[in-house]
Amino acid sequence: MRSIRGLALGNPLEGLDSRTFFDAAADAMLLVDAQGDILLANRAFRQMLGYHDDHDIIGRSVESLMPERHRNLHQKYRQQYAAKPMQRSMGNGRNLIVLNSDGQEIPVYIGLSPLKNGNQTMVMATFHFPDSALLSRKAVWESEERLRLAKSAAGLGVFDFDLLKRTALCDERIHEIWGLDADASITYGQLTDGLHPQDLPLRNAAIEHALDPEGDGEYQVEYRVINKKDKSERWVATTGKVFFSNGAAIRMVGIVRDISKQKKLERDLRKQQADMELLLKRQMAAQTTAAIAHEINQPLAAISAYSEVALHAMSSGQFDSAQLAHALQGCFTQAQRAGNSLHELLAFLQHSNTEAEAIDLNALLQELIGSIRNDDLYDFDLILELPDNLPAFSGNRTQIRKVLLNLLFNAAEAMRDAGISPATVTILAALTADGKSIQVSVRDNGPCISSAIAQRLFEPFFSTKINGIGMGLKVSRAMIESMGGKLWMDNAEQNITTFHFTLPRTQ
Amino acid sequence: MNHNEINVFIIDDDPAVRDSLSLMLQQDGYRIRCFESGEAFIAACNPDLHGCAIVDIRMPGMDGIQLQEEMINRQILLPVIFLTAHGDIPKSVKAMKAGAVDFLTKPVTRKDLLAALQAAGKEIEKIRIRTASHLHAKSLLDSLTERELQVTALAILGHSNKEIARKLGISHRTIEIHKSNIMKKTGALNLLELAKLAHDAGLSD
Repeated sequence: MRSIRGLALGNPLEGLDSRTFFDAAADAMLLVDAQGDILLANRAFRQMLGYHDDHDIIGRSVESLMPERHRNLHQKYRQQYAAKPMQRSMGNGRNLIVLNSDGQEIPVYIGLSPLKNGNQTMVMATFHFPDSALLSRKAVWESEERLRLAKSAAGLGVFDFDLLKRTALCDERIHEIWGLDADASITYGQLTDGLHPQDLPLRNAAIEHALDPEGDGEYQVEYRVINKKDKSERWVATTGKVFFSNGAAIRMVGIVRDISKQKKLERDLRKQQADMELLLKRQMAAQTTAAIAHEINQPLAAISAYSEVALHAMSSGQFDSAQLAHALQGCFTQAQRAGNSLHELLAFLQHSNTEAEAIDLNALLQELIGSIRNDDLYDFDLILELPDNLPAFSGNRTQIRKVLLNLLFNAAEAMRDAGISPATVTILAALTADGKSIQVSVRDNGPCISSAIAQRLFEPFFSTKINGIGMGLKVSRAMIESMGGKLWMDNAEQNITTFHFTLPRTQ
Repeated sequence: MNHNEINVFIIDDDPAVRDSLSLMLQQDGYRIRCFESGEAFIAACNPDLHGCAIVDIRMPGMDGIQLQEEMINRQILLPVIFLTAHGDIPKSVKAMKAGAVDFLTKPVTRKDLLAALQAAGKEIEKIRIRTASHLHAKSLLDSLTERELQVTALAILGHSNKEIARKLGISHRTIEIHKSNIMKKTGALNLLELAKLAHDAGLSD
């Protein structure tokens, strides 16, 4: 019977064309050419997505079936796929979306199979829609999608380190910031390699803090990342949390945020502030000079005229002794007046209420470094060599801070202008031999200060900087001296410049 | 050198500067009067005053530049030498444009001050000549009648007798008579000389 039937009907596959097969499939299917244009859509596809006619769909680009936000990326993925076609599911397990004829977004899983016909490569895409009965799964999908959207809107990247297996899961955004290939997985080492070397110690300290089983497990740090692809420098803020099990850190999860724009704004603002400060300083210098000039010039004008009167009287022989006495008395009085004006002016300018307090150098330096961390000039390695048992010293906090800043930035600027790399500044502190003072030294490996310049370093209005007004060191020395200390420069060692200052130790 | 005929007015708020400069200039025979402010000088001024003013740029109250403006407003025709403690370039440019003779930085030397006063002396002479020709021209034109002044004004603008006749609504012949009288009274030989007289007298303004 079977054979007869077989005989009667002949080969059951005979007469069936590929199109019939395609249309009979229960899953929605699309055939797409190498350019991404849709060649065929089967009946299931049309039914499920509400396309009534072949013409509604054939010839369209496959990207037109996706929400706008996915199109660019898909185009890229499609090209990658065309270069290396293989049978696999699309999107590496990510949630995909297809638009139905009403433009509604439908979650979908898609399988891709390459098809070769002659030298033309096509791709068959099989659509599998999550079972609509499994509503919870759809809800999960939607909430994941929401999270993904929020993440991308906020520009957040997510990382998840398994600290036991030493593996890392990082999302696209992290790949993008670090400039690593989207498809390749990332190791912890690659992330570390991407960091700006100057920020590494800070980042490592933050990790160490987070991994401390005694601590709160919070990981929070800002650092620069050098993008591996375009070599650009990006500021990144990282917030994370370490999870512990039996006192051992097992997992760290967190987010990274690109804060480059914010940092640039901050930097511009700081630069503006610095410019303003310079302008203000110049104004003050100009005003002070004008005040001194006026106070001194008037008596000088009189003295000059009186002396010429005396000279003229003597040389002309018309010797009126009363007139001569008058002129000389004028000279004397005016010279006294000039001197007194100067003393009053200096007393006025130097009058400042500076209260001394006990200073812990370590704490002061930590605070200072924190405040200059984002400054453009802070482009050097800073080494602190402070003894643990350094006693506190007495001085005015604001003034000492100002002096340290002056010395640090002088060093930084000198090294930068001379193109010295690596630029290093070392701050040392020690008790002086007599045990009465603390000596602080700021040492750089900058260019040599010639002896001609060294002699004039502390003169007012002497500067080797283009934008300098030449008051920094003069003022620094005056402030240290007003606190009972000394400030001097030492360039005895080749290619090393050190500024030392002392301050009395607290009683 | 004797400068008895030249008055020098020193206007400076600093008594020592006033005193020393006046001693210095007295030695050269200048007649000196000192004022402690621009206001005090203006109060003592009248258009008949002649001589030269040495003015400090920086003074409390009216400063040197304001004083110069005030003098121009009041037609006090004195050359001005400015003194300043600062090389105040924008101010000095303004002062020079307004006709200052010189701009000297304190402390000023006898040599510079005397050179500036020499220049001021020449300026005073120019002003004197200008004033004299003004007064002369004015007295000549004062003898003209109202109608003759009208004809003069139109004639020096280049209008023909015919046009003047039409503008004033009188006959061509009458204009010719007026013109002949004008030339006789002023002694002008031609229209060009008449125009210069009118200019000196300030009529053309």
